[in-house]
Amino acid sequence: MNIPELIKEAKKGSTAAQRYLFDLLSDRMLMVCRRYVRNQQDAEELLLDGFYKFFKSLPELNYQGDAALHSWAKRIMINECLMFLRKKNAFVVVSEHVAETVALEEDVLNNLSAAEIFNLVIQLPAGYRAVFNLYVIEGMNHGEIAGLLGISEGTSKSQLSKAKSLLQKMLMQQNIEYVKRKTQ
Amino acid sequence: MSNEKHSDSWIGKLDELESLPGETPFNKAAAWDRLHQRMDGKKTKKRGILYWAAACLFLAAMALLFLEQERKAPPASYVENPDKKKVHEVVVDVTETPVIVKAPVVPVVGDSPARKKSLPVKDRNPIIISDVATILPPIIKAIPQSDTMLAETTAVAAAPKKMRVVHINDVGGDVIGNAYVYPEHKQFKISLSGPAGFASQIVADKTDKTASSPKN
Repeated sequence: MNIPELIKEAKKGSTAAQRYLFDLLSDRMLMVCRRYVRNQQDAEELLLDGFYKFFKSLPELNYQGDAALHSWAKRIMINECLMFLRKKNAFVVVSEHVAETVALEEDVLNNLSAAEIFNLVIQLPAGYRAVFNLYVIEGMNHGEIAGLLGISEGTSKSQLSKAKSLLQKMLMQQNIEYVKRKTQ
Repeated sequence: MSNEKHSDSWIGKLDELESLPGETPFNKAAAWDRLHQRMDGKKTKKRGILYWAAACLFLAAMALLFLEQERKAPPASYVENPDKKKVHEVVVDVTETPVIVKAPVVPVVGDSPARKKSLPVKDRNPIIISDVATILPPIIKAIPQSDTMLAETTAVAAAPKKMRVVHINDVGGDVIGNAYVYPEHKQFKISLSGPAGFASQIVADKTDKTASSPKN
């Protein structure tokens, strides 16, 4: 059974089709949740909340390909995570004038594995991490991020700047260790 | 994908990451069971709420129906007295010119039951219509219906009860005094001459019957 048929059956309420879709998407969606929420148990709980909403709003989905399905599911998960963080007051408000453009060492990042990048990202504080994820990985602009997190655009920019500078430091440390490891 | 010129390779790698090496894999079966329970639980909860709402609506409808019936049906003990309404009824002739009446001459008996009870029927002053007529012009006339009716009722009630007159000989088998009297027995009154205070004696004629008392 291909994905469009699965979605059709899941829309009708077929438990088997819903289970198959859950198995197909849950691993990637859990990693998405963990990028925003560091705690594994919180991330799993948010994954379940997200899938509950996913199946509930499945009749509204107009299937246009696997990538669209993934991005739709990811959007639901991200919204759940942001709601959770907002409830916990996880976003640190930083003064706006701090914003300065910090360039990431893309070459260093490209040389790292996905797991290593993931471990670096989740070490960022919650506020920085959320803005970094939304801006760099999800490709949103500061206006959208400000609307989603309930902060000003300036705050979003300063948060991103801080996140990048912190990540740069971590990358340098990583690189030193990497070079050290290579030279040893 | 991103706004700045980021290399898509590391972002793509991060986005497609499904698990971290060295970590215990995610237990999908357990997570699915939890999710399925949650979905079923919400369904049953919704159904339960619907059942409760339906039950409440039914009860409310029944209560309304009962109250409506109670309101429509008058109480069984209540009987409307048509005379009571007419106590203060005054006939006013509108066609004639209005006359100012200084004081109400016609005494109107109050509605309060205590006042009615305190005055016995005999002591009440009868309403004299002629007096009213002399003082008031003939435009306004009081109709004291209830008082006249009450007087009539009292008069009827006071009349002695008439008893049926029956000759003693027509009475059969009745007890008069202590003696049994039978119509077939002839009675004689024999007055004995003597001083006053001698009692009369009734002696039964025993020519026809021998026994003076009934045989059971």
